[in-house]
Amino acid sequence: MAAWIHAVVRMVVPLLLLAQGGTWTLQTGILNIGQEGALLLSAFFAVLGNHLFGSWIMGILFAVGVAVLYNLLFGLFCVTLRANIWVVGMTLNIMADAGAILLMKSIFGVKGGFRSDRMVPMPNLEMPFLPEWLAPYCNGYSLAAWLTLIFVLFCWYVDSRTVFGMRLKAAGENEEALEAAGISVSRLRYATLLVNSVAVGLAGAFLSTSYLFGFTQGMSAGRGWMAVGAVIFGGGSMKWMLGAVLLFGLAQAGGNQLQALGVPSYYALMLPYILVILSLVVRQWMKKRG
Amino acid sequence: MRFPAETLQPHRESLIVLGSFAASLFVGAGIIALYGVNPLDAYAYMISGALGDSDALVATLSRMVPIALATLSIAVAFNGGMWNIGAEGQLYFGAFAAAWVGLTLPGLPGMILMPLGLAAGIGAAAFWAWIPGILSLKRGLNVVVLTIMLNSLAIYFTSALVTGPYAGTRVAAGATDKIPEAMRFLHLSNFSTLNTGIFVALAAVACMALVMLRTVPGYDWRMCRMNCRFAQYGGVNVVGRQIWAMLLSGAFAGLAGSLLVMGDLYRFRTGLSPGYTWTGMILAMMVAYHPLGGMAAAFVYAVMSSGALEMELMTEVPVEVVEIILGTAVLFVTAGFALSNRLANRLRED
Repeated sequence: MAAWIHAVVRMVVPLLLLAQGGTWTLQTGILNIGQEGALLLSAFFAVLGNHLFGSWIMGILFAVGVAVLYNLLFGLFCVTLRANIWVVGMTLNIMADAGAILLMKSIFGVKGGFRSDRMVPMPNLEMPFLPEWLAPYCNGYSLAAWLTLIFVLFCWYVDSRTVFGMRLKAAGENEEALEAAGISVSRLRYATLLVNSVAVGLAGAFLSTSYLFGFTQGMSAGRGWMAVGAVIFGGGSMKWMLGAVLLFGLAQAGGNQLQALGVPSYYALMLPYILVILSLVVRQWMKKRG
Repeated sequence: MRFPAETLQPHRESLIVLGSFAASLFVGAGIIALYGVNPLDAYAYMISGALGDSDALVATLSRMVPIALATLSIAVAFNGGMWNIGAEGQLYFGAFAAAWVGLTLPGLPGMILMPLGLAAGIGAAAFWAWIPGILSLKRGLNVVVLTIMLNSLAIYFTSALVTGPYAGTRVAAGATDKIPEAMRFLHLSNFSTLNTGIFVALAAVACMALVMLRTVPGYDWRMCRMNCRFAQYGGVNVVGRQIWAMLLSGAFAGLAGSLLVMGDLYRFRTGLSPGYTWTGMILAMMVAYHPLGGMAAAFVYAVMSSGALEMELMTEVPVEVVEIILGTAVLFVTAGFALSNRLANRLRED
């Protein structure tokens, strides 16, 4: 049971970070579809920073740094120039994919994947004072998992209890009204893009220096897109987004479990994607009725 | 100072596209210079590697066929306002269907088998595009997320089939046996996989370009993209037009997949496409979905990527620099359109 919970948490952490960041940008009216590329680049830069300095903290900082640059570029086009988000987002995704391979070839001189002995994995948070019956459930999670929890609680608090949170939603629902009230919508949008960058950077670092150890080509494996699915599923609401993330995380962990039980791996890999499609269909149907 | 602005106005789009491409070559030159390589040398290697002799030229043309079809597939969809990100999955689905026809009905004559294979490939891919199309148009689901999910589904599903029930007996894992000879497009040279399928591709591209540029549906698609409500108000059957944009987009992806199976490899295998439709997406967006511009862009890409192999050998600048250059071009084009629209609005207000 405890092992099962751990497996689900490992799947949920990157999805939740990306979906939470994306929900915030969506609240201000920007559907951030560059997440997949940002996640991949962050994962690469986490490895790079970790390798150069032999420190997982530097890895996270590198990852967040590149995610900030990436999101600023996205913001320059989609917020300032008001260009089409699909064109810009897809271009950035494709460029990130090519860019990660290019950098890996140029810096490390390898193709396909990279890891090094100088890298230090992100630690787990262990609480030795816990009673024996509780310890297996609460210990053994990556530090990133706890940071994710704090991040989501923080977002929930800001979203529902502060003026800033109200303004975010106003920026998405009626930007003219907000501008008339003297608040810069673009600045709000850039602010959420920056918060999103921190989340994406942490997710990338988790992927390549905690969950897996090292960078491999295409290691984001559609997580960014699944998170976008969860963001759309939620439509700006944190509650629904959380539900979707949990569902998709369960499906991913379940798919892995099925592989271990001997179901042909490709069929098991299909499970989460089918679930995402079905859940979006059902949710849309519910929206129409309710 | 009105004179130059008015003569340039009709060519605004082409000028922005060409200017952006030129600018992105400069950015590329900057990146190449970081490797301590003279950019002019690197570009010269690209050209000589792609067009230097007849063998190289044939290899470049062979590379161009799937890219050109993928570019048109994306152009048709995006031009009609349907964000079909799922062409990759449609390509895989179509390619497998074409191979399946050959493997299941090996005894039929080529006269029947070839059209049947193409029809199956095109039909299966169009069906795979129809699902997200109808769900988004009738139910209001987000077409991008749907198509992305269907990409992964199609790629995993065909992989499951090709490693399971349709695994080849005389080949490494992850590929089917060869399709019957009656079904193959013949190779035109010994040095590359350029095959007679290129004529099918040419005919399809010519028809589609004609439809997009010279017919009412082509005009309606552009209206649907630019202002969907206005098109509806003007009496355009938006849902009908857009579902066709989706079906045709899938059809072209399927044709690309079928030709890869029936002309290049003579079998289906996992990893059949190294991301042709993602490249096609970059190219289609770079030329603002113009079909003939897309073909020119596909040729430029084929030259650059084919020649980049020689460049990587000679100078150690990775081939991925081509994707970065063209991606930069798309960003410049996007910025160019955004700025020129803003400028036009300001002039109008004055």
